This record gives sequence, structure tokens and C-alpha cells, in this order.
Amino acid sequence: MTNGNGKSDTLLKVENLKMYFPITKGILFQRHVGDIKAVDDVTFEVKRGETLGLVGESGCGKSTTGRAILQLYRPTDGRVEFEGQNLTELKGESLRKMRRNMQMIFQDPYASLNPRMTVGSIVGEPLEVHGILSGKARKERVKELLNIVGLNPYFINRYPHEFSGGQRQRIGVARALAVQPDFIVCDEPISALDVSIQAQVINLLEDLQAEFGLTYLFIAHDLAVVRHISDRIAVMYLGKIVELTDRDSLYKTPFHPYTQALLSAVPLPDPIAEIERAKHRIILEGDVPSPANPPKGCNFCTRCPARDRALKEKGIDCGEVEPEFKEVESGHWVACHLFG
Amino acid sequence: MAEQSLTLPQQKIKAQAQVKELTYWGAVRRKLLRDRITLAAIGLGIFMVAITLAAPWIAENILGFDPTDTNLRIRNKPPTWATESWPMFQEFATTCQRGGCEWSLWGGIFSSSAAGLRECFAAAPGECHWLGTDDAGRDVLTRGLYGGRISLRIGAYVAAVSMTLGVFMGLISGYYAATWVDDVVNAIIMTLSSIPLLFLLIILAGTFPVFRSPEGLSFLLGIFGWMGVSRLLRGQLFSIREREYILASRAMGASIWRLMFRHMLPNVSSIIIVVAIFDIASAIIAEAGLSFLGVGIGPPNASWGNMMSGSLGSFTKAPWLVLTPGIFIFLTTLAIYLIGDGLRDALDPWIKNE
Repeated sequence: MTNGNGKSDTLLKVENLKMYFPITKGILFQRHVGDIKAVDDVTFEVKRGETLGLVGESGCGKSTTGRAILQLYRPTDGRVEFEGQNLTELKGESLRKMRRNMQMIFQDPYASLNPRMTVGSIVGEPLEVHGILSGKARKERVKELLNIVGLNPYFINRYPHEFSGGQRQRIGVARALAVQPDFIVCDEPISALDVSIQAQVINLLEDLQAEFGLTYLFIAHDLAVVRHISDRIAVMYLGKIVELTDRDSLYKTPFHPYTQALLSAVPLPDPIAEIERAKHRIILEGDVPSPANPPKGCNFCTRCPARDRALKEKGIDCGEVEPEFKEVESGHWVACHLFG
Repeated sequence: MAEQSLTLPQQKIKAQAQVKELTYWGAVRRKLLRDRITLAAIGLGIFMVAITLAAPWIAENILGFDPTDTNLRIRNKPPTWATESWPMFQEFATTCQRGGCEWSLWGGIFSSSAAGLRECFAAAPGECHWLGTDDAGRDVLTRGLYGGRISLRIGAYVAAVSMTLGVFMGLISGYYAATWVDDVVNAIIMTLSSIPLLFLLIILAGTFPVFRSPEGLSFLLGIFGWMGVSRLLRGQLFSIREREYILASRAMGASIWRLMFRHMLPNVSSIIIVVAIFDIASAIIAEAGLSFLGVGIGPPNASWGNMMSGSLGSFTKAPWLVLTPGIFIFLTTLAIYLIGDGLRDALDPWIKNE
């Protein structure tokens, strides 16, 4: 697949990524009694210069996926290949050096900046850690970075609490940019911001991508935002990717019943169209099952409106057989028995 | 786009920004300078430290006494300036005990005290016991100053030992929360803090004379006094280590040491400073208590604690023996507590006293 830059180079390759958090019991001797399968067998690729959107409900494992890719959590299993190098095998110093190429922007701009550090030292820290610039040169670079993200360089001696949410998020963006990474995981970077500020930060991210040729993994639950910023979109449900395709085909022809339900829940700005639309809204019943005890077969079978159809048309019981995640059309991957 | 939209506010802010940009420590200093109570406490603290540090000089040149020179002819003498007024005061107290206070005696008390004070100010060194003498005829004020040297030294030593240990252990267990490292540290903390400290100190100091020197005593108090800090830090760090900014710096590639000392430690630094300062005060009190019980600093060396213990029996006959070290301890710990309190506010970047 090609993108705006005309390259068809794969920057990041995630294969069968699993991130299980153990559940233990006992005070002194902790028995391992189960796992929370936050990310369960996820496979996808991110191309150089593109934005891959990752959407899903709260708790479906989006953020965990992002963090497991950056090795902030050590994955239970699977490969994370970044520019051909398997990150899950890296340790200590080599991993630390590798971090220069991949950065993260966090969800909560109030929690992601150390309250005891000045803006200057927050933004300059990556430069210091990787020994890139020091002294006056670093200070100049920090001022330049602040300018790039639209902050007054004179704020360099201020503390995070002296800024608004949007400004703080810009500081977070400047920090991520400091070491000129290739890849940035944006972990719901706008969810904690006001709507008016959201647009500013989104535009900033887009401008930066165009200017520095960045690749984003954009994690969000706001479908409109994801549609705006992403080239391709992956939909997650209960630790698995259920559908992955380019933006337009996802919004035009969603295959997976979960994607269809998710998209039908997006309200329209036009009230008359919205009334018409509400008639066809797919309302899912029940709750998301616990990731500690996911259902047998297809993860989504407990809530799937098309489960009977699969049994009738294909003769497959979704509660028994797990669907394969496969490419049903060119570049359109789905994990559902109804397709392919 | 971003640059354009910010040109205007940038221009506006620039003017005022250059006037009031302050670094963290600049802001701390400014806040401290505006806090009159803390300033007064700092003044008092400096005064106490200065007079105890200068004790040998003061004793030789102003007071004219040696802290260990005994003179059995002048045992338990009231302050020289009160030689006449002290019996009058005792007479007044006796009349009060009988029922009717003889208030007219106060005229004599005041006038003779005033005359005595005038004489004392004029007297040469070695002629006036400003705060009386103890049961061996030694000058109480001189001993009080010398005792302060030991008390403050012990306070500083104990704070240094227990802070070093406590901060280190706290950081380790806070960083390695919920792993076996934390379990081990926690087990040590629990074991040490379940020992009844007073009895252990009495036994150790009573058995081994080495623990009755200031250094030995501070070592003991420090070794058994760091658990509070550790536990406090551990709890704080448990919440801090889960914050996103810690994750952010790990994602950035920060090392363990950087995370511990640049991110976690500064966020608990105000707690550490305040606890360290309160630690000095409680060590001074602990030394006084142990010396009072007879297992701390032993005579002939003076410490505030053993000055009190030696004189408690004669409180009604010679109250200056108890009041002098008591007031010294009171003033020192008061100053320290107030400084600690003021620093806590000043070190918090959220508190702005504009």
C-alpha cells in the first residue's frame, strides 16, 4: 500500500502480540490463578509516514497495545519489529537507545508532566538522556521545539501547573518531538481536552507529520477524530483486532458486525438525518465480557447480532470456532465467520 | 499554522514574562522571605546554633567558667543576681501555701533583682552565675551551652543517618513496588518497628559504653529511626510511580537512577526535608530522654538531658536547674518545628503567597 510520501516501506510490524497480566492469589506465596488477556494475539503493520488509527471501547486493550509496542510493558508473547529489529528481544541499554526512535504522547496532560520540573527540563530531558545536546545548545533546541508546537519560548522556566490543558498537551508533543523520532504512539492525546482545543492539537499533529514525516499510531475512541486523522484504521474488541482497513472503506463498507454497530452509534450533526439514522442504529446488548475470562470461540459472539446468520449461512457456531483474522478484500482484514 | 496563531499573545506575554520568571528555588526563597513566622524561627534557630557553637568562647570570655569545674562551696546556688530576691520569693511561696499570698514581698523581689542584675552586668567574667549553679557547684548557663553542642550534634547525626537509610530504602521499595525487593524491605521495616525501642536502647546503651558517646548514641537512634521515613516515602512513591510522567520518562529512555533521583525523589523532596527537620527535633528530645534515664550522655559531660535528670529531685529548691535545659530544649525544638512547617509550604510549588 502506498501513502502520501510515495514510500511503501513497513516501519512497524506487530505479530501475534500478546499481553497477559497475571492474576495471583495468596499473601506470601502467590499462586498464579489466571490471566487478564488485555491484548490477545494482535497482528498488524504500520507503514512509514502513515497514521494508523486504533479504535475501540474503554478497556479493550488499545492503550496496552501501544504500551506493549513501546516495551513499556514487556509482552507475554509475539514479535514487535521496528525497522526490522525485534523489540521484544532488546534489553537494557540497547532498548534504551532504541527508544530514541519511538516516542509517546499521553492521554492525560495533567498527569504526564512531572510537576517538579520546568518546561525546559521536561522538553530537554530526552535530549539529555540520549546525550544529544547539552548546555546552551539544548536550551536553544528546547526553545525551538516550544516554538514549533506553538508555545512561547519564554515559558521555559515555568512549571506545568501554570499551563492550561491544551498548552500542557503541546508540551507533551514537544517532548515527544525532541529526539526527532520516526514513530509516535499517540495514546488518546485529545480525550482529556476541550473540543475547541482538540482541533488545535489534531491540526498540530497533522502539521508535524507533514513537516517531519512522522508515523503515528493514533489510539482513540472518538470515531470522528480517528476518521479525520487516520490513513488506515484498526478496530479492537476485547483484546483482539476485529477489522483493519483503510479509512474510507471502513466507514463506507464496514464488514465486522462490531464495526457496524460502532459506526451506527456515531451521531450525525444534521438533526433530521440523525432521526432517520437512529432508526437503523444497531444497539448491542449486554456488556463486554471480562478479559480475564473471554468467551469461547469468537470474542464478540456473546453480543453479536449476526451470530444466527453465521450459523444459518455458513453452518459455523461462533461460540465454538474462533474466526481467523484474514484479508477478505485487498487491504481489508476481518475476523468474522461471515466473510471469507 | 501553530506559529502564526501564537504571534499575538506571544508579543503580549513577553513584556511581563521577563519581569517575573522565577526558578523553583527562587520562588522558594521568595516565599520564605515573606513568611515572618518562619523567618523568626530561622533567626531563633541560628541564634541557638550560634551560641552553642560559640560556647567555649562565650564560657571563657564572657561567663568566665568551665563547664566541668566543680566547687562544692557554692552548690545549688541561685543565680547571682537573685541571691537576695530568691529567699524572698521562697517566702512568698510559703505564704501562698499557708493561704494568704503576701503580695507586698514582690516590691522587694523586683528591686533586689534589678540591683543584682545591674551588678552582674558590671561584673568581670567569673563573678556572676547568670543561671545559678548545680549540685556540684558548676555554672548552669555554661553547662547549658555546652550541652547544646552535644544535643544539636546528636540531632544532626541522627537526621543524617536515618534520612540516608530511610530515603534509600524508601526509594528502593517504592520503585520496586509489589516485587520481592519491596517485600524484603517491608519485612525489615516491620521487624525493626515492632521492637520496643526504648527498652532496646536502654539495654544496648547500658551494656555497651560505646553507645553512650554522642556518635554511638546517634548511630543507635539513627539505625532504629529510619523506618518512619521509609514507610512514608514508600506509600507516596506507590502512587507516584503509577503516574504517567514516570511512564513518559521510561518511554523516553530514562535509566532507573534517573527515574529514582530525577523524577521520584523530587516529588517527595518536600516530605523528606520536613521529616528530616522534625527528625532533628525528635532526636534532641530522644537524647534528652535517654540521658535523663541515665543511659545516654554520662556526666561529667553536659547534655540537656542529663542536666535535667541530675536536678529533678531539687525542682522546688532549685528550679533553675530544670528550667534552664528545659527552656533550651523548648526553644530549639520550637524553632526547628516552625522552620519545618514554613519549609513545607515554601517547597510546594502549588502554594503561591502572592
